[in-house]
Amino acid sequence: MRLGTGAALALLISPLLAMAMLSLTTGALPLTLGDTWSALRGLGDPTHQLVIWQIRLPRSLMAIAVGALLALTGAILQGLFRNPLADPGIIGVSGGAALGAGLAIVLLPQLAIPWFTLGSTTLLAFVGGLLTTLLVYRLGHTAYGTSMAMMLLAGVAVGAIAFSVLGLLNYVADDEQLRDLSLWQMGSLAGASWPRVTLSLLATLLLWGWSQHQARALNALLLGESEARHLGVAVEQLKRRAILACALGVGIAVAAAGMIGFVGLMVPHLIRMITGPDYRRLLPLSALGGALLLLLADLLARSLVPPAEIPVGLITALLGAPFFLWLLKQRQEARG
Amino acid sequence: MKSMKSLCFVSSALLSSALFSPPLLAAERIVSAGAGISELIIALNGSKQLVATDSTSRLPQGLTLPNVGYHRQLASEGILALQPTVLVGSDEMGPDHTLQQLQQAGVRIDKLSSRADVATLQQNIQHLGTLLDQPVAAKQLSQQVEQQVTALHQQAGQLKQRPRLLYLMIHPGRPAMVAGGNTPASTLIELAGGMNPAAELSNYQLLNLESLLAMKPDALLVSTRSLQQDPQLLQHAFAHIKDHPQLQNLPVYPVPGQALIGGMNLSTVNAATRLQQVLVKAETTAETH
Amino acid sequence: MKPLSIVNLQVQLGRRPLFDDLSLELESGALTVLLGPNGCGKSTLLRTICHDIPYQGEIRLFDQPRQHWHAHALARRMVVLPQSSMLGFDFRAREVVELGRYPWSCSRDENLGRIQSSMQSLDVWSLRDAPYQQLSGGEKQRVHFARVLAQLDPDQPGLLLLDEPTSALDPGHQHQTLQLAQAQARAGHSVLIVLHDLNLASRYADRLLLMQEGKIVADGAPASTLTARNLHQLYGVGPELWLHPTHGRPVVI
Repeated sequence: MRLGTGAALALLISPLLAMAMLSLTTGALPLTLGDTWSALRGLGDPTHQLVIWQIRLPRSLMAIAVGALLALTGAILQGLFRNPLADPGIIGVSGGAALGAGLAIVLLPQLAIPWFTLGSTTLLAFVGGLLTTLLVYRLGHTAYGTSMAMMLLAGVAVGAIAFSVLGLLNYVADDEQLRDLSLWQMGSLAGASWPRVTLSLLATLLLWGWSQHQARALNALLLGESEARHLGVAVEQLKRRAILACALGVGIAVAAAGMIGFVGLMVPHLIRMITGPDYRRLLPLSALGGALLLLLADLLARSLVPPAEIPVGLITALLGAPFFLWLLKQRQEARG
Repeated sequence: MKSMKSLCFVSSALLSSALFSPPLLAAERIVSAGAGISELIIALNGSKQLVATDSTSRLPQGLTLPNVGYHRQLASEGILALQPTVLVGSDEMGPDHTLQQLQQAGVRIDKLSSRADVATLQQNIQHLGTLLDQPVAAKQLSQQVEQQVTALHQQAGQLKQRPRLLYLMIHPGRPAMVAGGNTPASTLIELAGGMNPAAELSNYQLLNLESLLAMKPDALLVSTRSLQQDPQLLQHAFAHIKDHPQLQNLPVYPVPGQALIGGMNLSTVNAATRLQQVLVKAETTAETH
Repeated sequence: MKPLSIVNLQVQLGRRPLFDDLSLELESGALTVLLGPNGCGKSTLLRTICHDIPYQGEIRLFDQPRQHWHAHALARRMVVLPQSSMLGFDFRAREVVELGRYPWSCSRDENLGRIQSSMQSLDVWSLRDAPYQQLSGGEKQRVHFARVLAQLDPDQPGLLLLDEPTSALDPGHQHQTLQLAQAQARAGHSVLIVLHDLNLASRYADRLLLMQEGKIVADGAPASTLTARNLHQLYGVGPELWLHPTHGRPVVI
């Protein structure tokens, strides 16, 4: 069964709005719809205003931005690698970001950069993600252009190196650092602040705008690199820019919220099952789907065990891993 | 634009209310984020003013309170919903982002030192006594700790030799870690009259059988819970320990885990007293043989 | 105007020079077949023309040097039908053909019109909503043929490059594909096909190019190039040659 673009948009936008409303009104502190509305307009109880303006609103917006970023990069990379099971980790971003965060937590716990309000963990996670991607890209570069197969292998190898260095850090870390490290790796939106929200929303809009503009070229790339070149696509340039754009996008998402798995794999795949692989529809719908999924996961994360919270990455993994298995099973059966 | 304006309004309103409202001493609603701190608050008759504790705190039987999660990963809204006036915790609690948000909402943040020494424990008792408006109880508790510590020092003088004691943290399937100098375990060893041969290390460090031999311990300390779970835990943590008779026959003393988390606390002193009794008894038995 | 003219082409594969000063011209309205044993360089020549491989020398397309062409403009004049396309994503047949419209920026209706007419001429319009992955090998080939037709400018002579288009097909579909290619040549385009099957080449080619070790060793109509001597030189075997009773072209047994 396939849905038209309009129907699919309606199917995603209305629950997204509903979920955003639910996300604003739900939390440990009980607020009515009326309370929420007056707090949004800057009226009423100052604590309510603080909860809405400094906690729930930035957090909901960040769930939307990070979910959309992860789903968009997943969709783009799956096309670039012509593999519907690719995920943003494939270009080495996740391993590098985790290593960067690990270095910040274990070796430089006192490092504070005065003008950089987002913290050294965020900064090093971003830098680490970007550097490993560049390394993977360099390794995949050959005389005949970028070999995606080589990049795939390089991504696996560089990821393995990053995670073994991380293992070394785990080994020398003390208990508190170990705990911080594992919590960071589980991902959480609890650190949502306006600078982070602004940065990730901006990144989402830029990535979506750029990829939407390249949607037809990305479609052509699904045929194969030679075929795309014969259609007039500047393949090398497209690959280079797409990898850079995805590295920046995932880097910002990971730096802002830690590791949140399976959104980038799961959402584009689901959207393709609903509306087909055409990027012109896939991109906006994936962004919406990712936003919706992460809002839902975060709502669960902060309302299942109040007043404490569950890391949201744990929830997406708990939802995602069984889905992944089901997906593999489906493909296997489809092939007979 | 509108949103930014109202944002500024909220923060300035909150700032002024935090600055100009007088502290209400008697009606504190306290969230405690730290095992030793919760223990002190309860010892200072403050359990009525406690509204929640963190996941490391142990509460006495019959008292149940909401759990705000791990003290380094606090969530602001969950805490705000409990309408506390103050959040007390060690200097390790966080993240800073949450603390800032709570402060903006008018919740006072009270950070106590987590240094593992008696002076810090006494300071924390005084501080919490003032916060809870329990000066008498604080003075009593402070004196009680003072007496206990003095007694510990006197008894320690009677030991002919300061035994070399190592505290080992052993989790099944993971390599053993030894407690370094700046840990509550090390303070406990010193208080009981022993010495920690690993005091030059900081925090908890990995330890293999060879390093263990090199430190020539007279006895080993492990947490009561891990010893209950696995009486053979040393044999499991160190392969070939049976090849070293001097290690295999080493006495192993249990220490309650509560005494070792979240800095120096009352349990640490109590545990030191019990450990000292064991050490004195062991020395006497050795002499009669 | 020559759709393709190659002057002094040199290509290195690794350290091995494959072509040394190869020159070739193609005419509009003709179907040319490139034959030769494995490794002689026929596929490499095709891939060099469509710019998958770096080269030295000059390749002129429609009287303009290769490097002067804008990628989109060239894609509207020169199309490549791949041997087989591994499309792992679940497109509809119509969407695959629509990919051929990439170098065009025109109205939605015009796009739809071109997609429909090219699918109709390949007799796959009835399959337009079928999932590509569920099509048979022959249907997939026709859908891709429709895709490259939708890509081609209908108002100007074009160049079609086909790399072993029949290798995955049964005999019926082999003939069908070559008939379609022949129809394009009759419509005024220039068609260059790499083939292995001597009889198919003999049956459909207007011009045959026999290639050996990077050199064109024979060039002309099938009757003059498919000789026992040439075939022995190329393949090292001495086949029997007959003339077909109806169309008079050589048949290799």
